[in-house]
Amino acid sequence: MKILGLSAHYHDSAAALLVDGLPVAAVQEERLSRRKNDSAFPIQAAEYCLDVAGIEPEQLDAIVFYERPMLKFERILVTALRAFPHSWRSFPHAMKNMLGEKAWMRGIIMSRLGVPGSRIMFTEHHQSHAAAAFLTAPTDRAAILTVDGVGEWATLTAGQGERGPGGTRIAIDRELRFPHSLGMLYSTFTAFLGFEVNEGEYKVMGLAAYGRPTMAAGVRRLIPRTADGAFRLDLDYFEFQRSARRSWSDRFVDLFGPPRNRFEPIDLATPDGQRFADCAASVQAVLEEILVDLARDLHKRTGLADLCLGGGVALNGVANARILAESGFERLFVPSSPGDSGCALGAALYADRIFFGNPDRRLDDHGFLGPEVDETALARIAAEDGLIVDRIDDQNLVEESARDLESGLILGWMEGRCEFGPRALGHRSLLAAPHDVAMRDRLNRDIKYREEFRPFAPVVPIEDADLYFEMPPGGARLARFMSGVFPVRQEWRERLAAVTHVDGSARVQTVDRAFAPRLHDLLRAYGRRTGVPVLLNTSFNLAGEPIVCSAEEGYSTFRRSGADALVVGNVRVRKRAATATTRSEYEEAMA
Amino acid sequence: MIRKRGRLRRQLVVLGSAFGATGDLTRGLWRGGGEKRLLVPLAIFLCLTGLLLVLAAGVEALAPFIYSIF
Repeated sequence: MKILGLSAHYHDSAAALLVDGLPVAAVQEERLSRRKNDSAFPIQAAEYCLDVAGIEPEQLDAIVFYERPMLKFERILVTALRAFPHSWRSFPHAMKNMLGEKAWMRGIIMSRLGVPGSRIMFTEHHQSHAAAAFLTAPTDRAAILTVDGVGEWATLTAGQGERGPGGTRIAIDRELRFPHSLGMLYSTFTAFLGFEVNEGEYKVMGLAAYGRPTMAAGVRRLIPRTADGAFRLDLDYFEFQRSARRSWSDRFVDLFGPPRNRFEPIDLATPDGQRFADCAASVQAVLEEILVDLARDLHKRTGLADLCLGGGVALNGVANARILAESGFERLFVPSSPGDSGCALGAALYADRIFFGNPDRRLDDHGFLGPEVDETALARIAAEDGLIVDRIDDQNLVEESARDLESGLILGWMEGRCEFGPRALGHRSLLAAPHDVAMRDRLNRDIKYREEFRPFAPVVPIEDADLYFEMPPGGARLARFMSGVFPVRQEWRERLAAVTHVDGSARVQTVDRAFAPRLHDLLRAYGRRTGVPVLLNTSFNLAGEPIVCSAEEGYSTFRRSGADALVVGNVRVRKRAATATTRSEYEEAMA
Repeated sequence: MIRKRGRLRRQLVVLGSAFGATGDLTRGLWRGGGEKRLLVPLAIFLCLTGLLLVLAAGVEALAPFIYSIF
């Protein structure tokens, strides 16, 4: 059975294809269209998925959209009318936005893919999240928690799933509805702190480490707890439910002060800069408290050992680590793409296992489902540009790359299929030595062009993770897709300065050999040279651009950035300075 | 290979499917009972307006006439 899952029209559209219950391809539209967070109909992503399987749209048995557009329209309509007359300005905008295209998904899918309407199905938004979290995890029974901004009506769901020879069951027994939303709370602070919603949430989390939760009591006033252990938002402090102009109200400003002007940098030495950091720390602390409470309650109710977490809020690695440590669950699974793009895969899996009742299949435990990189393309274009191109066998490539990294070079590292999800997990990464703060500053200044308070992540072989990082039981698993933030052991903080955040933590990625063999070998080779098998791993892209996908995009980014060498498969391209074999030769060439 | 279709043809397909989608919405609101049932006429009116927008996007020559309504 061939099932295409689609997510589109809000943020990060994507397509995923299942053939006989197994994903053969999944990719975000942004990786192909080269527009960051592209929310357009994922026509290129769908085309890629069909190409991988060698099928035409007419051969699809079902096309599943990740949410019910008309239920969403109902929510928007009801919310706007409840907020009338305050919503009179936003109402026409919302209606035009919805009715211009988004509401007519069945027709749009029919018209774009040329398939009959009878083959098009819809799942609910949080069903897609739940399926993406549970059905991709290596567990047969687990509690499921999904948390995001909003889908149709639901903003948070809790339940449990079971899979096996007897079939698959996902039972959601608790649900919280819009406008009461943890995701909307966090997004409101993201906008208040001058960052872009749906993109800047990482920045709030990074900024939180510079502040103290001095305003946590204020944040708790915004989100009082209810008798059943859930929460509600005090809508006097918010305007997102009735205005497209801003998310917070004047009372919010009375509590937390004026919002940040997004064009002014955050200067932590000033009182305002510190206030913003304290705001971030406060909302982060309250988010963690609530998530831990919800997870603890779910653990008590289900008595299960495993928790699968989905939805955009599952990208908050600091909260994830606390859930694992404090909720009572032994293992916490967060998929490689817990946000809306992952819903394309979740919707397809939900349809396959639940709608059609197909037997359970164990999925490969990785997120490498995107386009393959072509090393010959790199060799050709780099040679045309007169750069030094080497074709090296695996063993020498690993050894020489370890040497380059030890000497302070920054490598673009591309191999195999690209990651499905927002994180570079070693197939589309920039790698560098993790020891020196100067390396972090160089990456921020010459390549990533981003705020200095944002940390870089370390990657470490799974067998060594506990030596360098304080990993709780189950932590190594959570770190598989870079989904947890853990303390760097005190004795290693100085040697891992480029990847240690100001609060002594790091968003660790653990790698076992089966997951990424060459990256694992590289880490081992680097460890033999330096005594520390840890590298800095950051996504291979420039600020404002999606992560690179093809060799050509990798090459373009390599040429426009301060990276010293680019490795694609077994082909390596170096800039002049990167051919230096010693630090002094390198500095001379760079001068 | 996904065949590319002309804009007008695509919009007509959308238009053709929209009545079913409007029916889904109406049924959902009706089943919601109480205050939601009162929204049915408004929802139908808005959907029809939305269809005009879809039509305007597909047949550019019609756009000035349709937008002048608003």
